[in-house]
Amino acid sequence: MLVQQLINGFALGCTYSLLALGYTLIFGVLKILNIAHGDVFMVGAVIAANLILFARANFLFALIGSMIGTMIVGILVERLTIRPLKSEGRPLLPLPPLITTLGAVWVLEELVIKIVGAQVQPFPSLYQEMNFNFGPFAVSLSQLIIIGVSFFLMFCLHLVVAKTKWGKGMRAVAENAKTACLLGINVNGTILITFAVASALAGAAGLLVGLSYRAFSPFMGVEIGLKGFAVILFGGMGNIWGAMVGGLILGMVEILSVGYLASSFRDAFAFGLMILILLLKPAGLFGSR
Amino acid sequence: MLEVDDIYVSYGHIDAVRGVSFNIKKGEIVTIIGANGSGKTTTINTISGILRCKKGSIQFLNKNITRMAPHNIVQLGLVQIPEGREILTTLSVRENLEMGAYCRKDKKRIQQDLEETGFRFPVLKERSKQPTGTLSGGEQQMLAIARALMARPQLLMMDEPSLGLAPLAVENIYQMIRQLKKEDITILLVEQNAKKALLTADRGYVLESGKIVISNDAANLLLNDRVKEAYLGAEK
Repeated sequence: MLVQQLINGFALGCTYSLLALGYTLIFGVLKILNIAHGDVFMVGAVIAANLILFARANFLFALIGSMIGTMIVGILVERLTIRPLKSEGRPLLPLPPLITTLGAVWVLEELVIKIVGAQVQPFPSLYQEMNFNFGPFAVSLSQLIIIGVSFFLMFCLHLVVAKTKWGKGMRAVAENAKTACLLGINVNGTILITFAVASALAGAAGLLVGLSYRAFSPFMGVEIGLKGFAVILFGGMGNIWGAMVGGLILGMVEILSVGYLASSFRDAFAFGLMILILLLKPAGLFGSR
Repeated sequence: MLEVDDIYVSYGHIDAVRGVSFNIKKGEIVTIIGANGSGKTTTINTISGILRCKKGSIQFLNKNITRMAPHNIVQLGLVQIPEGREILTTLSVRENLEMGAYCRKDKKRIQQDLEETGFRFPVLKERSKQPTGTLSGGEQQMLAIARALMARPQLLMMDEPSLGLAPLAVENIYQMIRQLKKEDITILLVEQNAKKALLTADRGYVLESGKIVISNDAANLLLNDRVKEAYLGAEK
């Protein structure tokens, strides 16, 4: 039973990790929290749903479509709500972007409500759900897809961050934007690409969550956004491993607490654990600040 | 090579640089000396494009770089080694050197340069895979210089290279600077340590409260009474 819960939690955690990665990438290079990120995830789900419903997209097409769509939305958010706040010579303060990205949240949600309506809607299915039995425990097809796609994306991200020019530039900007400037790194360009990558990950998560919960709504970004944000807090802000591992941990803790305590305390237990970790290690599990 | 013409730079209402003009010819070492807060770092950051001047212009290699983006200025060959070294501590020594060549596109020569330029300091070669936190101040300065050299600069601007270093390390760095001059690299040296700077440079400018008050050959500046009193610790 425990292993089954862990499997369920692991799959749930993968989606949290994908979202947390987006937050952490953005926080790394800009030192700000992009509240609109949860809604970028939601837009990904909406785009994917519409692609499947109206363009008869298969999984791959829906995945790529939602990732590209959210990339564009993410870039728009950066250009319209964050870039205008920067003035040269002065650092980007944390409060104004918090306010402008909050504005973006409302704009995105209202736009989506106007287009698809405010209710929860069924997410079109792409496959027949089935369970694979491995002895005493079962893994559903949805879970396999989530875990598989998430890990593939996280692996790709790792390669890109470690090996590509953008990845190295991003790490430099994340550590010290002024020095990165002096090394000839196009800081604004790097930030833009970071936003695009973070948003694409959120878009993928949107498709995965939509498929497995078989529903989507303009408000689905709120709760998962909050959880993704909490993950980076206790995993270490700006730390990629922290986001990956933290998301998995949160997913497992959440499911375990539902299984062994009461489902009504699900979120309370998860957040409570995070508070505890932060009290013991304020910089987060992998954090260094 | 570099012509700074009457630049004015402010932070909000505070005027940090008020009408500064100077030039640097190829192959020279020019120094700007001045006390804390005189506007040295502001000037050098404006040349690098990190700050914008309200008035005035900057030309490098006959191109107008006054409004150019910082990364494009670096690509032209104008490289700054910032105050305090600013080594990237999340990267290893080798990765720092590679980052120096970030805007270069000739991959093969970068590898070659890594050997010749980057690792000309034996200390850096030894520690190439180590994280940079293990380096001493003097070693970090050498890494910062090597990193800047990896960009194959035409003009190297050094902001207070002796800051926070022990006298022996300072001497090492200045030996390195003299060596660089022999290799035909033009250098702008911004320093508080006026004595060392003037002993090494060809020409110098004295910056006070955002204005250049004296400009002359370095040798003459060493003998100048005002400079001696204010910057070289002479007795009245």
